[in-house]
Amino acid sequence: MYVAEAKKDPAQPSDRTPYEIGAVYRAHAQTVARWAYRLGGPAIDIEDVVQEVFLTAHRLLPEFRGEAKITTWLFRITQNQVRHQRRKLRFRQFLSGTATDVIGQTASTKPTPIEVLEQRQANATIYRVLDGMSDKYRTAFILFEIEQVSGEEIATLMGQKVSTIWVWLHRARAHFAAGLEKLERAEASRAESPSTAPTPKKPNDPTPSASS
Amino acid sequence: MNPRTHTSLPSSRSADAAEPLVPLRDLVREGRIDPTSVEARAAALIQRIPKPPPLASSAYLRIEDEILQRTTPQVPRMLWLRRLGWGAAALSTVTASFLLGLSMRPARIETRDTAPLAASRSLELHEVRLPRDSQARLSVGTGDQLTVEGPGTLSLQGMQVTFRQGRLRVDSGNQPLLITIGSRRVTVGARSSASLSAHVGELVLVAAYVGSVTIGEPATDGSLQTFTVPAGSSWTAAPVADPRSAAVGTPAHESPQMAPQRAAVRAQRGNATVPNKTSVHAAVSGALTAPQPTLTTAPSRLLAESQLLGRALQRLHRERDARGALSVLDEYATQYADGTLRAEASAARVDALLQLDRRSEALQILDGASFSNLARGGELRLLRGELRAHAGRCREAVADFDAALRGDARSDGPLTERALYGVATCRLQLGERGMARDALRKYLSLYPTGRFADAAREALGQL
Repeated sequence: MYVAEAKKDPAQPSDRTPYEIGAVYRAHAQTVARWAYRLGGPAIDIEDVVQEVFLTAHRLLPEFRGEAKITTWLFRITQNQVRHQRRKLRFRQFLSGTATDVIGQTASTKPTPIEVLEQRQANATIYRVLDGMSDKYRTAFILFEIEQVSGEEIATLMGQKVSTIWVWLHRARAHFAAGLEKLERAEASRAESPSTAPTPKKPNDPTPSASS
Repeated sequence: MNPRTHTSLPSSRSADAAEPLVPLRDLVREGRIDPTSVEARAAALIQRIPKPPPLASSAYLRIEDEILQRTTPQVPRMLWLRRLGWGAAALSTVTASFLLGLSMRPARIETRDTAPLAASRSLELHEVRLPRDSQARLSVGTGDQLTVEGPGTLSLQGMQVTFRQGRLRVDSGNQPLLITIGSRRVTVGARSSASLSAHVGELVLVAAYVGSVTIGEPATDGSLQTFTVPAGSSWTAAPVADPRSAAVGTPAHESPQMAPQRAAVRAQRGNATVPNKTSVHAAVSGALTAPQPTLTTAPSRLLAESQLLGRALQRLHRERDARGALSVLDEYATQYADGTLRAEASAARVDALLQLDRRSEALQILDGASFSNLARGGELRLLRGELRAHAGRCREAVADFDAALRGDARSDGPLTERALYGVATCRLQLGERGMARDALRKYLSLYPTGRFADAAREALGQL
């Protein structure tokens, strides 16, 4: 059994030693990956986001004065990177003319065991609805309802007052409910009158006609 | 779990309310909302979504490489600057070794397990032994980080680090770090990163990522010969055919014609005073006065193979160019159809195909290959099980998962987690409910907050 020595901030060895990007990475990489996954959804390249977050953090590290916790600072960078990636994804979809097709949470280098079908569908549905929301409501909703972060912590992470966060969460919940109802109605009407148009092929489909 | 702010108010559609909310899951659990409402349906969806997977070890290390590579100043290639650096290092080594001895702290270990840790304290280690599919990270001395992947054995005696088996990733601090592996002594330079592989007590592979790595090995005359593996290149031990040739491992990056020149350079430097602590450099001072015959012969076939494979791995892991890696691997397959490293090349091809999400092709390779002689053979077998399960070949997949579990009976690492869950889902697919139930229960007993815990509980509830 191996145990670790607990530290308040493992990335900073002492008060006098400045942060070093390698130590920051080792201490917070998994947390950033988790945020990227949650904020970005299944279509995001998590590894890409994590790498960009820490490269950006390295560039901005000299300006980090420690007024906020380093996790808060990293969260803001992660948020921006995810926003940037999602924008790129939407632009690519716009150019290619295909609908969003969520292929699941598999990291490209690591296939998972048999995914429970309901998990994939639930994931796809939730993020489809979330994609229709503004960034701030979307982030607040994900952190509160999915990640189970308290309102006060969300306020710290997002740099807002707690009362503002509650207002956002109320609105986010209302928007999510409306979006979910709309999606359910659309799927119900599609089920009643199936379309004759071909369904878009999943990206990275290994079948010969879609080989890369 | 962080403290939550709970109130007795139900969820509200009043969009401007600033009252604290109760999470939807809690409202449903407490029966405080209409189960047919859209909020209840939203809560049901949220409860079903999977937990975020942790970054895979390979991705974690690859990204770390990339970040350190891009953020560490490059070592200048000019020879005169290197000589100046060596001279300064030699003069300061005595002082540095004294200070290093004073500042040596007990090794601290971090575990990679995502489960919460029960306790924390510093340990003074003498030996680390890891089973398969496990990993330990140690902080040794001042700023040195060692990451051991099992099955592996590493021992620490004061300043002496001895590595016997497995894969060792080294990120050195401000001082060079000396590691003994069998008859060879590897010095990882200051602020350098490298990966070392050992098998039955002998060094088999060195990959230098950042900075420099020097390998010293005994020559037939009892002296110590050294050569450097610079960043971005790799070195593989030559097969032991002739005891004399086994004493010399030609650096992967260096052509034989360069060797006499480097030997002459070392002889010149040998006149400088070299303190005893840096024993590798000290041995150089009187040893290499003329090139050894084996250094001037043509590169061995194994060396050429390893150079080509090294290029493919660099494309794959450092440049993230899976297609480029595949074209280099095609070149390898053409030139070395029966090569010594063909198993490693096949494994690299599988990794490249998976990066491109070409799973069926990856499975074709895994179906036809045996990786039992590779350190990551267990992982590849598990991977084959997962791909087979994904392709609907559950009966075959179960055999792979069972083999992975048998080979690692006491481990509770991430590979065992995947294998257990794989068994459970395959048994379900095959209609073997009793065995599926047993597997799910075993999984939940070992990984109550694991990656597949929610899905496992839900599946168990339905059985």
